[in-house]
Amino acid sequence: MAVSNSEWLSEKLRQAQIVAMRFADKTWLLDARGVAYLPHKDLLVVSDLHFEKGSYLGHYGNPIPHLDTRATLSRLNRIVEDYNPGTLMCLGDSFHDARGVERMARDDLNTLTQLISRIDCWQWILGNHDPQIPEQLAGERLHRTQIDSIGFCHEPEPDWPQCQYQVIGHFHPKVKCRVGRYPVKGRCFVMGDKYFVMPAFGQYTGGLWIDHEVMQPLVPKASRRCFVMQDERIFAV
Amino acid sequence: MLTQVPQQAATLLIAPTGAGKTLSGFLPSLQHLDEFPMEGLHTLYLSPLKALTQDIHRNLLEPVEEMGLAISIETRTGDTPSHKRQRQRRKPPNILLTTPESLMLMLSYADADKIFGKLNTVIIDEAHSLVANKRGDFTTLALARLQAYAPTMRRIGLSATVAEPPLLAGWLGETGEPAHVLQVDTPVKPDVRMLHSEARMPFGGFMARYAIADIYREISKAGTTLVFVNTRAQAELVFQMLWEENHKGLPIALYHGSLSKEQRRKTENLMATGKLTAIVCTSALELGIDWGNVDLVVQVGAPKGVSRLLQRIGRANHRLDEPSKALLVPANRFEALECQAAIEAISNNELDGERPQPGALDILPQFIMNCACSAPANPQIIYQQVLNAPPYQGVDRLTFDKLWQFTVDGGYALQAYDRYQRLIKSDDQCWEPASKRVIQRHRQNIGTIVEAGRLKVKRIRRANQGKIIGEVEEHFAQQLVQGDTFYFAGEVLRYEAIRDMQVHAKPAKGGEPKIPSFSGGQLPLSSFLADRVRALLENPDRWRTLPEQVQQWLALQQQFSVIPTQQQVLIEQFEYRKMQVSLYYTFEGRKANQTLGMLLTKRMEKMGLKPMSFSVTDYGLSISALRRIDETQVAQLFAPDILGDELEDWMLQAPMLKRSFRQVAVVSGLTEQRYHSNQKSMKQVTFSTDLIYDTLREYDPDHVLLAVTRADAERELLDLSRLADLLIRFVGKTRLINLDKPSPMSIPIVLNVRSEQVKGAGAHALMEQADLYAEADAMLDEVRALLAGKQ
Repeated sequence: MAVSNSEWLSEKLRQAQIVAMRFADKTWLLDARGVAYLPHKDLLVVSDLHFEKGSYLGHYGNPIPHLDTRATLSRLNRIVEDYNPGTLMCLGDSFHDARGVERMARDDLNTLTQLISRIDCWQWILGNHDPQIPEQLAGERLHRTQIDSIGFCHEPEPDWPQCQYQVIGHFHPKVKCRVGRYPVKGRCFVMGDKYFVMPAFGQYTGGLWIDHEVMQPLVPKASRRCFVMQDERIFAV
Repeated sequence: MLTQVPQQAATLLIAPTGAGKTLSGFLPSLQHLDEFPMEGLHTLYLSPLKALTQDIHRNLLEPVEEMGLAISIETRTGDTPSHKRQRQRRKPPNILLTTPESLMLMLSYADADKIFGKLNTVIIDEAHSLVANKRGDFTTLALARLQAYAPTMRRIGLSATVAEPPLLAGWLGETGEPAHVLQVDTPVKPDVRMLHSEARMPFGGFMARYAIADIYREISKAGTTLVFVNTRAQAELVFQMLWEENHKGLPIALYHGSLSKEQRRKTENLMATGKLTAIVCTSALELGIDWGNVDLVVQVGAPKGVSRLLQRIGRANHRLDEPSKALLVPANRFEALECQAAIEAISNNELDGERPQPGALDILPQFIMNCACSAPANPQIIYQQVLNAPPYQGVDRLTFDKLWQFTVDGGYALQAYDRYQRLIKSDDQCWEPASKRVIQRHRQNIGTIVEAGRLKVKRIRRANQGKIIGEVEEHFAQQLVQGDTFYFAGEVLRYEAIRDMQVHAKPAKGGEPKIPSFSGGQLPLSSFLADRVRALLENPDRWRTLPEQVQQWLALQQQFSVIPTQQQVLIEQFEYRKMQVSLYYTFEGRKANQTLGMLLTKRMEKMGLKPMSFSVTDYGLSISALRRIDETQVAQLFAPDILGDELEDWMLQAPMLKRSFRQVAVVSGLTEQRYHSNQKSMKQVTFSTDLIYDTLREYDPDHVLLAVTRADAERELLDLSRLADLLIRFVGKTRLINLDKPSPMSIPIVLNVRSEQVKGAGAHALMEQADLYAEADAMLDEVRALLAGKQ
C-alpha cells in the first residue's frame, strides 16, 4: 500500500496533502482528506460519517440529492486503499439516524460491507446519532476504547481518569482565519493539551467554529493547535 | 386617465415623482366601487416596499373618508398580525395593499380562487424597480396566476421615468399583449450640481469624510434634506460624522433597512410631521414614500446610474413646477468623474435602463409548489400560466418538465429510492403536496431574496433588559470580542455577548468603533454611465467643468503614468503591500471584469505567476500575485486561445458558480433560508450548499439545477462568447507600464476591499510559509521506521 512507500509519503508531505504532528507523545499523520493515522498502532481514525443524512432530510421535504452516502463511501474507499490500516475506527455518528441503514441503497450497502471486510479490525464507536449500529454490519461496537493513555470516544468524557488524552468527534470543528493576508476557511483538526477533536468526514456535514463557546473549554484558545483543510491541502494555522 | 384605463387590459402610467401617479392609479377603482359597491376584493395594490403600503394606506384613507365612500382598505405584509390575516382571508377588504411575497403566500391558500375570483384591478407600483430582477420575475408569475383566477382583471403599472417605456410595457402586460403607455413628461429639469469643496478630496475611499462640513452647511441652509448614501455602512458613518459636526443641534436622523421596524416607523412619522431637518438614508427611502417638503437631496458617493439618481433627486420637492434641487458629493476623485457624467446625462435627458432578461428558472419550482399548495396542479395548465408571464414566454416544455420533476422528487438520475416525494398524484393528471409539512416548509420560504444570516441587536439597559434595535450580519457579529465597540442605529455600542442568537450590546463612549458591513450593499454601475465616464476621460477639453482638485489629479496621472484611452488597454504594474499588483483599465463594466479576472488569474496560475486574489470595479480589474508580469507574458495572457472545453469545465468550479448555486438552492426550494430565530447554538446541523453542488457535479452532472445555476451566473458574469470577442479586440492593444508605486488613478481600484481569492500555488506557497513545524523531518524518520515493517 501507498503509505509504507517512503516516496509516496514524501510527495504527499511536499504537496501539503498530509502533515505530521505530535499529540499524546505520539506522531500522527493528518490527511487533508479528513482522516488521522496513528503509525504506532496502524490505526486510521475517521469521525462523523453521517451516512444517509441526505435521505433523512428528505423526510422534512428537502429535495436535496441523496448521493451523500455514495460520495462519503467513495472518498473513504480511496483513503483505505492508500493506508490499508490494521484498524479502522469510526469515531461515532457514522449513521445520521437509527434507521439510516434501511434507507441505504443496495449498492452503497455492498460497498460498505466490502470495505468492512477488507479491514482486520473495524471499530464502531457509538455516537449520539447512532447509539446502535445495525446488525447486518460487521465490526466491533464500542462506547469507548483506550490505547495507552489515549481514550477514543465520540463525545468528551471528563470522568475518565485513566486517559490523560482523548480523541473525540462530535463537534465538526471548522476555522476561519488569516495566514498572512490570505483568508483561510475550512474544516479542521484541533487539539489542546487533553482533547484532540476530529473533523467531520460525512459529505453533508456542517461545522462549528472552533471559537464557539461550546468548544472553547475543550480546546482553549491559548493552548490549541489547529490544522485547516482547504483546497485538498492541510496547513497548520 | 380615468376615461382611458377601463378599456385597457393593461395600462402603464409613467410620470415623474410628485405627479400624484399613485393616487391616480386608484381613481378608476374608487369610482367603480362607488358606483357598484361590492363585498370582497376588488383592487389589489402591489408595492416592492412594505413601508410603501403603510404610506399609501394613510394617503388613501384620507380622501376616501372625506368623500364618505364606503370602501374598505387594508394592508397586508409580513408584519401583519396573524389574527388580522385570518380575517382578511375570510372577509377580504375591497382594496388590499400588499407586497409580491405576501401575494404569493395568499395564492398558496386553498381558498385563493374565492379570495381573488372577483378581482377587478391590480396596481403595480414602482414597476420600473421590478424589471430585470428576480423579484420582478416572481411578480409576473404571481400576476399570471391571478389572471387565471380573474380573467378580466386589469393591470395598472405605475413607474418613474424610464429609458425605454415599450420594454416595461411588455413586461407589465400578459405575454404578447403589452400595456398601453400613458406618459406624463417632466416639466422642469432638476437643478443638480457637484460639490466643489475647499477641503482636500481623497484619491480613494468611500466615506466622504472630507466633505462633511460642506454637507452640514448645505443642510443648515436648505431646510429639509435627504442625504442618500449607497450602503448601510456608509449611512452609519456619515450619520456619526454629521452629528460630530452638528453644533446647532439640528434634528438629523438615520434610516436604513437593518434598523428595526419600530425605529424606522418612528423616523418616518417624525419626517412626515416635519420634525426632522435631515435624514441620512440608503435606497430604503428611495421609492415612493411621499414626505411633502424636501428641499434638497444630497447624494454622497458615486451615483452609479442616471435613472437611480433621478429617482433619488425626485424625493426633493414634490411640486411639479419647481425644479428639484440636488447636490452630488463624490467620495473620491474617481467618483467625481462619475458625478460629472451623470450631471451631463441628466441635462441631455438621457437615461440608462436595464434590458429585460429571460425569467430566472429557479423561481419556477417555487411557483409550481405554490400552485400545488392551493389546489391539485396539472402540469399542462401550470405550463400555460408560466408562458403567460412575459419573462417566461421562451421556456421550453422540456426545461419546464425537468423543473416539474425536480419539484416532485428532486429529479435525480441516481435516485436511491423514491419514498420521499414532495408532490404526489392526486388523480391521473394532477399533483398535490405529499404532506402538510411540505406545504408549511414552502410557505416559510416564499420569495427570491436570499440574505446572509442575521442576528438581532439588543440594546441592553440593565441586567439583560433592553430592546431590539435592528440586525447585523452574522459574520460581523462573529468577529466581535467583548469590549469591542461598533456604530449601530446611530450610536456607539459596546459588544457584550451573543445570547439566544441576539447580539447584546450596551450604549458606550469612545473606543475605535467598528462599522458593521452588510453584504450585497454595493450598487452596480450602469454600463451607460461607464461609457460616459470613459468619454469624459478621453477628452481633456471637458475636464474644465470638474472640480479643480480632480483636474489636478488627472494631470498628475498624465505625468506619472498615462490616461487610459479607448484605443489601448492600459495595464499598470506596481508593488503594493508586498504583492505584485497588475491593474487593467478595461472600462468594460463589473460583469466583464469579473469574468476576465477569473480567466486571467487562471492563466497566470498556469504560467506560474502565482496569482493570489483579484478585485473588480466598474472601470478596471486589479490582480495581486507573487510574481511580476513582463511584456511577453502580457501578450500570452490576452491570447484568445484557451476558451475551450477546459475553461468551460473550470468555470463550473469557480466560486461565482457556487455563489449562484447558493441562491438557486434556496429559491428553488432545495434548501431552506437559514432563519436564526429557529436555531439554537449547535450550528453544525446546517451545511453549506457548496457540498451539494460538488456532489451533484460529480454524481449527477446533467441535473437541471446545475443548468439553472449556470444560467443564473451568466446574469452576473459575461458569457464566454462575448468574452472571446473582447479578448480579440484586446489583442495587440495592451500597454504595460511598470511603476514604482500605485498611480493616482489606481488608488480607488486598489483600495477596493472586496476581492476574490484565487486558489492555487500562490496561496499554498503563502500558507506553507506559515507552517512552523520545523521538527517535521524528525517526526517523519520515526514514521518511516514504523511503516517499514508494514507491507
